Amino acid sequence: MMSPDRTVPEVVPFGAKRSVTHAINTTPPDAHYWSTQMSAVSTQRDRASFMRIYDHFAPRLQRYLRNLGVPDSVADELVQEALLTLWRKAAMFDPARASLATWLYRVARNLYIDHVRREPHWLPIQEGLDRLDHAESGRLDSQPESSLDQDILKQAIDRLPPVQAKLVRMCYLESKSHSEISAELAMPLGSVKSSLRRAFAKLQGSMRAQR
Amino acid sequence: MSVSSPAERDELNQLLQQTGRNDQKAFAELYKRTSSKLFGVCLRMLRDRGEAEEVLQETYTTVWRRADSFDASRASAITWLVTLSRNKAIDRLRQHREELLDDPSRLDETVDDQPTPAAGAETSQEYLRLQQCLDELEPQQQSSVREAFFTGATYNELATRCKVPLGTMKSWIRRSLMQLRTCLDQ
Amino acid sequence: MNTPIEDGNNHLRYAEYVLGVLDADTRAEVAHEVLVSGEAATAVALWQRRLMPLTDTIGDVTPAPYVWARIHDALQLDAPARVAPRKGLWDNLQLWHWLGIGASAVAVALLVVVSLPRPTTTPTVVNAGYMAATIQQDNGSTGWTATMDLQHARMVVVPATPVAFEQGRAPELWLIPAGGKPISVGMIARDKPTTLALDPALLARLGPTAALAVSVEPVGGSPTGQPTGAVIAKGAIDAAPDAGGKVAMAGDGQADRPRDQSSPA
Repeated sequence: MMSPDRTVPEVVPFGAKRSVTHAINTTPPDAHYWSTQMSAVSTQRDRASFMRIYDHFAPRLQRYLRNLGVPDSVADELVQEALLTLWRKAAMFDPARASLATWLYRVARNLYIDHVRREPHWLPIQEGLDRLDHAESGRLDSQPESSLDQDILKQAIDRLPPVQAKLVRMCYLESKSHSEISAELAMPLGSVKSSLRRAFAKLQGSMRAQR
Repeated sequence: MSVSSPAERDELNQLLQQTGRNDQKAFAELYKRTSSKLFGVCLRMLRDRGEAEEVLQETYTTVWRRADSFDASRASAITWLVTLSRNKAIDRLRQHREELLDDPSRLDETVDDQPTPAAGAETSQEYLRLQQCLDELEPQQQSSVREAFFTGATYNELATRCKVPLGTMKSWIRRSLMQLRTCLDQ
Repeated sequence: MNTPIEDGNNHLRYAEYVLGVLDADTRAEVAHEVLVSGEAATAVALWQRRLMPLTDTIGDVTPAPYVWARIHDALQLDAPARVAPRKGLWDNLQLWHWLGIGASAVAVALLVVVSLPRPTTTPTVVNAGYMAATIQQDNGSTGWTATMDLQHARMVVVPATPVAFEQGRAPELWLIPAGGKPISVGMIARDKPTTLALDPALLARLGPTAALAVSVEPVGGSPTGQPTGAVIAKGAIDAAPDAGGKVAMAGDGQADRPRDQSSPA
């Protein structure tokens, strides 16, 4: 979803950067401030900017993950991973699409999902995913599910983030192939697939919770 | 002993590979050329000659038996050897952790405030680069990293030694590792 | 947003492992990961490359000479003085491997060794200079064959069929004198011939009343000096057949099928 380009704001010259930091120290840093730091990271590999982001977001990500019920030791690691991902993939951040905070939380959450997926208890969910993947051409609605399940599923889809909900509807209710969706939404095929996976992970979760 | 020249490195790699093929002469030569470095490392970490000798012996015994698993594409021989000796020393420290912690006289010896290269030692380019990156760390964090590396102490032990809460020590070290990583990978 | 595919290199835990701050349990976990996962091994290797230069600041200290002597003894390496300069049948490991089909075959080969004219000035080899043992596993199959060269105080132990060991375990060979406690002869390889030097104390106890046994031990050898793991194979020591007896081998070096019951490897 996050394309590696481009609307990167103008790079702040090195000399000016420190004074920006100082000026900002009096007021809470805003989204614009962070996207400036990010552009310094992605275009200049500026470590000072990176460490500023690290210092600000590490404790916040930690709290965020803890609130998701992630055990502390796992959260510690995920925070590090998320921030290293930021360092390595800074170019993928697009301030036009999301604030840095949102982007980072999403990275952390996705890392958590990947982490859970490696755990043994992920199996039931994984099986569900595989079953859904199997119904590639979209026959979820024609499968002999009870109408109660159908209703729960529809509600669960409605609760998904809009883009994911749209993808799920297109894929399974409108029977569109992944490449058709990709073309129609001008979204990379890989993103379509991974977003769908994530959407289903969530759906499985809420389906199980309902039963 | 200098292991900073590429030629020297290649020779050591070759000796280690020959050792992996049960070449006793190569093994003896490898010992001759690397044991004083490894012994320095063991002594630095264990601070006890007898223990360091035992760990050195364990290290080379393992070298002889495991040299065939050395993969020159992953690490140089000297890195492989130093890593092996550090791992053995750390394992030993973990075994004796209580004794060491109970003996404050030993802890006093541990802090080395003069982390300068040994006199006459040739430092590698890699070291100079690492040193530059370490210098970017906050002084307290830099000394925690050094203390950790040279004494093989756990987070808990480091926190006790530096008299800071465990959480603080963890975040110092992790922040430092993060910063080193980004600095060294440039 | 697509989570980038990661190579494990992002895990700070590998850095913490290399730095040395993890407690014993977590260390063991990571060490295990490194063994089973290429990703983990790569991440750890990268961190080693990053951090090991720190050891440049540690001064070299020459260890006392007895440390090398101990290593030498522990590994039972050939002492420089004892290295046999003669490259003969004994040193031909290929041959020993081939001979691994059974102790009788070794015994047969020894007949040839002792009866073939040697291009050497050494006095005639004493016939009784060799002993052999078939070290059998509980299921009756041959695990190793051992041949002892008393004159040169050494033993070659050849695996018949490589025995599987779990990670971190290795076979250790013991000499069990009649009515005595096991004496460690040394660690032996599970899949290739091992040559062991025999010290005088061991030599003195070799004989038809003694037996050899193999137990499962930590890779560095039994920590107690006595077998700590299961004994997986054992066998009695026999004097090799007298050289004056029948030589069951053709002159061109082609061995007849050994007349033993053990199956070929």
